[in-house]
Amino acid sequence: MKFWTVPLKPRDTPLAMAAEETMGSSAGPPELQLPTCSIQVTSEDGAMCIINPLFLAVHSDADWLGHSLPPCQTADAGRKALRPRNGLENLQEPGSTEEGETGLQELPKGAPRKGDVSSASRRRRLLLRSPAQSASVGPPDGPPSPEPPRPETHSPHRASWIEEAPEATAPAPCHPLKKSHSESSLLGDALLPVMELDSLSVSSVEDEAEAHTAAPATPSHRKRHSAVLTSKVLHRISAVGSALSGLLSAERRVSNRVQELAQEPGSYVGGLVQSYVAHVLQGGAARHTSSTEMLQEIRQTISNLKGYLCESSELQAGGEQGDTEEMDLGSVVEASLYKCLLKPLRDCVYAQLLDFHTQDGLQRRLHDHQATMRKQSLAELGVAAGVPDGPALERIQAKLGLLHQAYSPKKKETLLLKVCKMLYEAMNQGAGRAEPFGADDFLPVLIYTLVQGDVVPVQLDVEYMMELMDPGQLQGEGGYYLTTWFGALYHIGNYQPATMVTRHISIEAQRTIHQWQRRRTIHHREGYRRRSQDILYISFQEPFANQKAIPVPFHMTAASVCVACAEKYGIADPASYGLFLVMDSTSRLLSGDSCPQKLRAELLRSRGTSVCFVYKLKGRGELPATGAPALENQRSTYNDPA
Amino acid sequence: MALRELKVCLLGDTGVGKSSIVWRFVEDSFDPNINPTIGASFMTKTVQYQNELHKFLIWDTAGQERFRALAPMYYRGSAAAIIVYDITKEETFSTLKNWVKELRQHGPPNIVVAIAGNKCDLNDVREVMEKDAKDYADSIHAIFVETSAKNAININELFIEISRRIPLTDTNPSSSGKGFKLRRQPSVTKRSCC
Repeated sequence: MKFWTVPLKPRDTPLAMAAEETMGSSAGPPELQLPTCSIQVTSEDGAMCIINPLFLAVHSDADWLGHSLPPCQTADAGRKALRPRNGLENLQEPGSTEEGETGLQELPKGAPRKGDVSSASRRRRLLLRSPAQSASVGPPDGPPSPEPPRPETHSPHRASWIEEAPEATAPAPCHPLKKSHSESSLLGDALLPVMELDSLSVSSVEDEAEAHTAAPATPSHRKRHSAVLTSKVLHRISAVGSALSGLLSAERRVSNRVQELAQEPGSYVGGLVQSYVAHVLQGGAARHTSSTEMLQEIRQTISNLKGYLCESSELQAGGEQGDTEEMDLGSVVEASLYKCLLKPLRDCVYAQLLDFHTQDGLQRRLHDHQATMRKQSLAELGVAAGVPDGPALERIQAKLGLLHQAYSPKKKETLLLKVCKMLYEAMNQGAGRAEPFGADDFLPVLIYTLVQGDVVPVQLDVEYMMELMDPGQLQGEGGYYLTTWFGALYHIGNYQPATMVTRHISIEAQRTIHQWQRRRTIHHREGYRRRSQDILYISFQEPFANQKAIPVPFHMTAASVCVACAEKYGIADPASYGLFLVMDSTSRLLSGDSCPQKLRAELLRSRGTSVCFVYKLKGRGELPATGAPALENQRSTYNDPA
Repeated sequence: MALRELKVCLLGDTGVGKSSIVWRFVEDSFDPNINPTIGASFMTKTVQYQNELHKFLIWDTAGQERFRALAPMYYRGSAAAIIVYDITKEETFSTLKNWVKELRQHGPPNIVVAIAGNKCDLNDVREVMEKDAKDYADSIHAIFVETSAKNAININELFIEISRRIPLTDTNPSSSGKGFKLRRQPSVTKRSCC
């Protein structure tokens, strides 16, 4: 018996048995004794699901039905948990399938009868299949239904199942019922190990859950989903789940440990966290000269605590070690610290930010310019692409609301990217162009969208993210769109009706962005160097391939590093390997007495670029010495003592 | 080899060179255009001391007045405090005396105090006599050195002296004993967070 076939909650056990009993008998209300081989599941909230036996014949293991039906309820005696009309034999006989096509007549008491029965059951059947389809784990669909699905058969959770349902087909359910919700409910209901990690969770998952409590939750949909899962879906999920759970549980342990420590004022970290939070809440934020400095101090505190937790033994002291090696300890600690610091401070920080910008007049300017810009035509705003329509705007506003409420910069980033995605969709909707609108058309659409709502909270959010995001996060898409949003807000804040609307970020805004980027990334490099002062990442054979972290103190020579590498990579003939410095697509063998850390530090200082160290076979493709300045020991040499 | 974690914080007026001292110690580098510290910054460095490894967990606090309220956070749990003044600015020495008073009142009872007179390479414009500072340090049983982060003078010596003092004076097992829990770990440098 596989684990997922075991009833999950004790209270389900009698239900499952009841279901089995009912299956054996063919008892049912007399008026419904019609030839059919549908199986009907009545779930907790009274919603009915009908499982097409064809589906079972095609998709199921033989014992699927007997064991794995998810939580059903018999509390209401009027409803039977599971009622196959023809008994089990029919289910297993392929001959019964044709009957199955025309069947699906049975309904519980109080449900609509005859006339609308078939359409209702079709709807259910559709419902039943869609999860398997969209999760794309099931084999090809069973025989097609007699009629094609009608548009009105869309149900909210069908749309919700597919994360980015096309706007045209989704009947605009404005509440954000998201994929993550479906997923978590799916896991939570159906799968114990995964549910465990989901409910205890790393904080980001909890964040999700928190956000959803605000949204109109639809618990009834959850049950129905679970009721229609096939064992195959469960199987796939469980495989993925067990593969992940090892790593995730280690992460969760670290995350919980950080939070424990932070809440315990007696611990060193707890003392730091509690006194910092108390300090800021008691008005400590007000003493800063600017909003940027206030946020910088908070970011610095997060980085410091992260550094301390990663470096000191305090985190290890309470728990098991070993598996922390595999995970990205820094990012797990970072996420936990958001919870310890930013969650309690968020409201205070926002109030203070608003204070700063009320004083410097930015708030006023944004308000005024927003009012002006709302009255302008799309052409005046420079918009060439499509813009979000009413319902789309509402959905975007809902996302922006969640973004504003979130305290984790990471979570905010995710939501910001979702809004960007929605904007791109709106831009290209009904455009009928061969080429979709791209990044150049994005800024005016973003400006248009932002002035439709309240700009001030967005301004605060963007500032909050720009200063508090982990510097490592600033690379890539998140950083790019964050600066685009900054550019849009800068434009709104400094809008002058006389000047023509630009479709690009203004020079002034760009300059500010550059300064910011420099500040934050230099900062990042410092932090990076600090935490890993002795670690050198060395690739094997190819740059950035098979990298290993090797502890290399500042004065350790290349020869000693080679010895360490030979051991780490299990090289039998170390003499034929050497340590190479790869930079700007040139590769140079380092002499045995040079110091890789020193070289790296010098290059970082003189050129500001990062370099790559590669341990590889000598005599392959390295360049002869060239006269690059400030680079000692760059001559190619073959007398490596290692 | 046993690993011992030593929490050290740096205190002192703005611009006296706290961060430069830490930078020199940790990275062996010096940047004349360093920005003022915001809040505090954290760094570590592991050095061998006799038959032990000493891992310094260093809290470099901001010297500017508006960050002063944060300092107790950092010195409260520290085994040692390095109070830095600038030998070319008399008033930074007065600030130092205030820090000593504050530590006596609110700091941990057994905290090791070290006094560093930084910028000793600028002897020409000296305002604080070495002897005065030395006498004061002796009167409060503090370590005393004149340092230059710029020229790498007495920086390592300062930390070695702290290493030497802490095991002798520290009777509180909670602040230094934590390191022994690491014994299960095969290596002390293998952990990295990125």
